[in-house]
Formats: sequence, C-alpha cells, structure tokens
Amino acid sequence: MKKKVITLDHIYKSFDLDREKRLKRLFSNYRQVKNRQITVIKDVSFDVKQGERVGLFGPNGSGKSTILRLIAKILKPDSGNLFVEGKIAPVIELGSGLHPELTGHDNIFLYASILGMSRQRIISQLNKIISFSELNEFINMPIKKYSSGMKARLAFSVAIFSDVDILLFDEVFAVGDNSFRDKSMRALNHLGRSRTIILTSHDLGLMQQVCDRILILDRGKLLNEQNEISIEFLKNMPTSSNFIAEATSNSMYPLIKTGDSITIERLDFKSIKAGDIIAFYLLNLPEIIVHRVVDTIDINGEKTCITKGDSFFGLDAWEIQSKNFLGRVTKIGEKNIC
Amino acid sequence: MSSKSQLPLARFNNYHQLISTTLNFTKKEIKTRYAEALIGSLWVVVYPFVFSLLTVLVFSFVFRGRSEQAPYFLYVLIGFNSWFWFSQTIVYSTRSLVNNRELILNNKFPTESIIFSIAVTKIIDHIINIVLIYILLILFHQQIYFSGFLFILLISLIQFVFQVGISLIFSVINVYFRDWQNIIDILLQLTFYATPIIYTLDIVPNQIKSIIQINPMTQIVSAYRAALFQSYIPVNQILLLIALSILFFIISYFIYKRLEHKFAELI
Repeated sequence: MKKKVITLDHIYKSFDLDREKRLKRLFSNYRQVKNRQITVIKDVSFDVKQGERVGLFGPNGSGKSTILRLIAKILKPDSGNLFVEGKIAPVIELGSGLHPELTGHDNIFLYASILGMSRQRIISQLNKIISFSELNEFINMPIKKYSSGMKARLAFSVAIFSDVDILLFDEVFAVGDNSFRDKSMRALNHLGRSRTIILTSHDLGLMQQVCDRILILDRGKLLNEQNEISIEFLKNMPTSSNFIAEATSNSMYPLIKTGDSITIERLDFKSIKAGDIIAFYLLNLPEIIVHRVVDTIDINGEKTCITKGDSFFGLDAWEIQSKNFLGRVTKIGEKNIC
Repeated sequence: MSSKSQLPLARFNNYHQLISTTLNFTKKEIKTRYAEALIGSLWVVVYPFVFSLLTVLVFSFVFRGRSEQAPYFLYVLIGFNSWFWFSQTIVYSTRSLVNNRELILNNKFPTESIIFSIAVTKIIDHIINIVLIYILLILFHQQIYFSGFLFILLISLIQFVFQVGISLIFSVINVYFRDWQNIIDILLQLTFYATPIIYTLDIVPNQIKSIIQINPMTQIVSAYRAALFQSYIPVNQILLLIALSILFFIISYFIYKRLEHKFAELI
C-alpha cells in the first residue's frame, strides 16, 4: 500500500472579518464589540496517498483555496492536525508569481525561485520549460503583452518541471485554450506516480479525466467522503421500488434545498423524457447527483440525457447514459412532483 | 503541523532559497525601474540635487544658512543624499508586503526577500549619488581623502543594515495596521526636521539638542560629513553605530520571522 503523504485530521479554520477595523476599535470601547468570525473550514478530514490525484470541487467560497493554502502551510489551522510529507509546491494559481514588466524568460527564473528551485536546476530545465509552454518566439517579450492563456502556459510549465513532491493547482484550467488544456492534462497524467496532485476546478467533467477521486466541499464541509453509497446495491433494486436520499447541496435550488429528503423511484431508463429530474452517479464522485434532464439525444445509437442543475455555479451540462442511471425523483419531502 | 516549524529559528535555515529569491526580485526591481525609461533612473540623481539647490537658494539668501565644514551646497547635498536613500527604502519596503498580496497568499517562500530586494536596489541610487558628490568635490576644489572614501563605504553599510532593520519592522506593522503606510509619511517628515540636513547642529538650541542627537540619522549624516570633508573618524561613535544597527537588525528580523506565518491571513 502506498504511504499517506497528506493527512488532514479534523481541521478547522476561521477568519476574522473585522480585521480592517481593528485599529479603529483601539480607540473605541472595543471590549463591547465582539469579533465577527467566519468559519471557512469545518471539521475537514481526509488523507491523500503518494501519487494520488485528488480533485476538490465546490462553489465559490466553499473553502477549496483555503484547504490548498493550509496544505501548503501558508495558513495555519485553528485546530486539528495537519500532516504533510515531502516538498510542497505553493498553491499554483496562474499568474500570482509572474511580473508583467519582465520577459517570459526572466519570469521563469523568478517564479521557479519562488517555487524553491536552485539556479542550476532552473538552467537545466529551461529548455524543457520553454518548449512545453510553446512560447518559443515570445519568450523574450515582456509578459504584459501575453494573453492570459499564454501566461497560464508559462506558469504551468514552470510548475510541472519544478522538483516538488506535491503539486497544488487552484483553478489552473479556467484560462487557456483547449489544446493547451488537453496537453496539460496529458502531462499531469504522465507526470509519474511519485508526485501527488491536488487540484480545484469548477469543471467536474475535466476533473473526472484527471483525478482518481473527487472530494466535494460545501460551505467548508466535506460531503460524506466516508459513507460511500453502495451503488451496486441501488442498481440491483427492482424497477418501481423506491429509495430515499438526503440532499446535501443546493444544485437544484429552489426546488430542492439542502436537507430535503428525496424519494427516488427505480424505473426503466427508456421512459425518461426532458423535464424529468433524475438521479445518477459517476464512479469517482462520492455522491449521487440529482439533475434535471434538459434534452434527450442519441449518441452512437444509445439514448443519452443531457442534464443540468436548476441553479448551479457554472457547471457544464452532463451526458448521462443507462449505465450511470439510478432512478427518477418522484417526491421531495412529502410533496409529489410527478 | 509539527511544533518544530513554529519556532522562528527553524525558519532561518532556508537561506539558499532566500538568496535566490532575493536575487531574482532584485533583478525584477532593477529591470522594472531602470529598463523602462532612462529618465526614470535619472530622477535618482535629480531629487537630492534639486532639493539641495532649492535649500541653498532659500537658506543662503533668506535665512543665511551656512556651514563651517564645507560649501553649504555640498554640506546639504550629502545630507539629502543619505536622507533620500533612507526615506525611499523605508517608504517602498513598508508597502511592499501589502503590494505583493497575491504572491504571499499563494506561495510559501521567504517573504523578507521582497524587502531585501528593495533595499539592495536602492543601493544603486546611493552609489550613483556618492560618485556625483565626489565629482562635485573636485569641481569645488575640495580636498579628497582616500581614507574618508573607505570610511564612507563603512557608514553606507551601517546605514544599510539600519534601514533594512526598520524596513522589516515597518512592513510587518503595515500588514497589521494598514494606516501605517500613511503614518510613516508624517513620521519621516518629522525625522527629516530632527536630522541636521539643512541646518548645522551648532545652531540648535540646547534644550532640544539632545533629542536631535539621539536620532540615529543625525549620527549617520554627521559621520558622512566628517569622512567627506575632514577625514576625521570618530571611532567610538562608529563602533556604537555598528553595534546598534546590527542589534536592531537582528531584533527586527527575529520579530519578522516570528510573525511571518500570519501574513497570509492578515494581508
């Protein structure tokens, strides 16, 4: 068994909202004013093994970036134990280590030194970095003239050729063109299993291609990573039997709210039509997903449902086929919807 | 999190990265400041020169400023030069951590390299001005002392260590209280008048003389003048300044490293 390189054990983290006003409060009667705190990470525990690729998924403000910064030891947890083994790359959020006035070439040296590479090491990797970034003729140009995609390519190239054991990527695929995105993902897949990768993204489909495991965060809480649902058991339930699940996100808001109980009926995939709300699963997600079918199409002669959440934070539409289908939602709480 | 990493001393061991990030940030500072426009680098010389000229105009003719040591213009110029080096380093580095918010929020590296790089870059300004002052000394037919020149290098080093110490502390304060970057403008203005730059110490009334003499910048500026105009080396004063600046630097650096882990949260 591979060893654990990252362990988060009941981690809590909160921020002081009134920080800016603190000086003002020195002059007022500050004992009466209570610190307004916001808890951004609530009791998060998980392990990552060496070489694993783990995705962190969740809406804005769910604490994804904070978890990366905690792992990188840029932030300290308020309580809980955090254990990290190996050399960690800082949170790679494209652009934060680059300076607009410098050329691409100088930025490689600047960013690589922030990532902890020695000068000799940078020089030995320089050609690889430049050729991977595909910036060949632009490399001696100040990067203020680069497009955001070009900057993303530069920072990404430096990051993957740095000699760190754990790579943390924050929304790195949000910018950049598709061809570089594909290339980067292939590079991540070929990086070798000595390196561990944690990445965040809004794009679940993309994470599915790269990650072994996806953790879902909702307002600072990790959604049941431990109690994995026995998909096999549910799939073997007979047609027209029901099962009940509890909603853990607001992706179908306002129809379904977090905490609602949802009754799902097993039935034949062929009878599903546009407008139905269906439940399905994807192998590397810990949760069942409930979405509305917006359209049904044929892909290679197989019926496929295009699904979307009623209210969602920029999720792409998903294509669901019979093998991922679990059932149709018939009741929300006590209310029938069919 | 291991308790070892919480000890401030354990944070000093990564000096390889400290050196390489400082060098790369310095390169960045120099390129962005000097490569952009030629006039940009010219201001370094223009500032102390023009201020000295204006001071001479105002004080020679209006208030009868004078100095026994040297031509009044040179007397004021070395003061302004040392003063601008000091105040520019302080002003830039105080804001530097906050200005590099994104970098500090997402990266784990010795953040003091940002401050060191600003301080190192400002040395260039100082060297240019010292060379200019020596050219003017020749033009004014002043005697030039070689021992004085070596002495100037030593005082420059003392001033450097001293102002890096201040920069470290001030940049930390600015992370905690954002008002600080405005307060230092006022503080620097006060310190300017509490330093004999445009006046000589002997015209200061006895009641406030001790306050002005306690100001380290007074000691530094007068040491420059002694070296430049008289080749007179006040050994006791210099030894005291060396001890104080090193002590101040070590304390500041210690406090800085002690509080560094909080920057990402507060910035």
